[in-house]
Amino acid sequence: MTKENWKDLMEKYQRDQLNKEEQKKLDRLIAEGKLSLEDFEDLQKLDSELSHHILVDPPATLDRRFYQSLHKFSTKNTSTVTINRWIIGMAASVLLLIGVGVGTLFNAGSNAKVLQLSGEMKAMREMMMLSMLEQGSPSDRLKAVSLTGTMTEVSDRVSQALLYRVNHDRNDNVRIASIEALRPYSQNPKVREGLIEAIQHQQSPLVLLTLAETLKSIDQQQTLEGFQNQMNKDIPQEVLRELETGLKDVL
Amino acid sequence: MNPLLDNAVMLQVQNGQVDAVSVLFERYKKVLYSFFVHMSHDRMLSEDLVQNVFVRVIRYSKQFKGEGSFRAWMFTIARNVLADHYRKGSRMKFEEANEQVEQIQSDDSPYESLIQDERKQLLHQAIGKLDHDKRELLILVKLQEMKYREVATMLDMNESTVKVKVFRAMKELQKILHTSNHSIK
Repeated sequence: MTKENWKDLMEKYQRDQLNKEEQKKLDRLIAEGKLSLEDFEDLQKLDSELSHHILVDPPATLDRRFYQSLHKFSTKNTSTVTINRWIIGMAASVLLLIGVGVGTLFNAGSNAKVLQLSGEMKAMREMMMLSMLEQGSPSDRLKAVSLTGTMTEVSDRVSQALLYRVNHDRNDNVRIASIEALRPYSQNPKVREGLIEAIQHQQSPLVLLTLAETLKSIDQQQTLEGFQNQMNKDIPQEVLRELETGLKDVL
Repeated sequence: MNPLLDNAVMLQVQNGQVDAVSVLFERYKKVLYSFFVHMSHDRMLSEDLVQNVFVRVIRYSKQFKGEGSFRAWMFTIARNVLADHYRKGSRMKFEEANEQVEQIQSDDSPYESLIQDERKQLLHQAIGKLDHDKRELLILVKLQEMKYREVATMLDMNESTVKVKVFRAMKELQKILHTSNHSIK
């Protein structure tokens, strides 16, 4: 049986004219995987619209609240961190004020000033992010990395700071989060080269797998052999063994 | 997303490296938030519920055995969090939430709001008009493109039933859009 044999059934379905028997037959074909959404042009179109539109962007407060809670779970507070937190708090307040200013001016229709203030807001957000990246606690640094998600584009300064984290952060999760934050910008040659170069600086199988996955997503030519050749030659055997299956799955 | 990485990160959480959960938060915050917004029509509540999911991920991390995908386990938690919320009688019940099909406003900047996607709004409103079970099924299947098998396990159905139910939900969604004279072209 081919789909041609069910053409009448499919057409009746689209016109909502199926009787009970025919409906059962159609259900059976769907359940057996012989017919799917792709076989109905209008449903396929709707399905693709749905995939494209179903996600809702979360507000920035979601990140803030999450990282505040996470901080409570982890680590000690040092005086340096307290001072830095104070600076960050101030920067956040300034950002908020600028944001309110942008809103007010927007309502007043002053486009030039809006653009100027938007630019200042972007610079301030970057400054806050870069400052947080230097924090002692991994959760603060992770929060800083997550701030890039709210930026429509990142400057060279930010991408370099993230690449530095990929190569030098003492916490693997910060490295992983930085790689994932750089993924949308991987078409930028500097970022791409930075990520390739980062392979040799890694010892953690998780970080290496994340790098492999990211590089594969931007470069379909990325091969298992090519990737392994770039890895640090001093990687312990047990790490290599742990990596083997994962890399084969990814590349 | 590579499920191997999720499982490896969970192993870290299980070993007390609580910070590692932020990797999972960054990966899944958007799908979880979307799930809750579509199910509750309440953005503030959705923020709370996403937080609750990750609190439970940390608290119950030891119960994750790595046999299935982390994503499926996380969505099971998400469904429980939502059910618990309504069970406690707070704010409103499922049915009331269904009736309160409001426009899901964008949090975009004023500039972006000006070019807001009308189709997205219409589609979100139409999803909101599906009954709870159909809406949940459709959202779980479409978010992160979860496999029918994964969703079937989560909802305690067989895979064939999921396929048929998704098909029917899609057809109903299409009818809602037509009825509203807002067909998606």
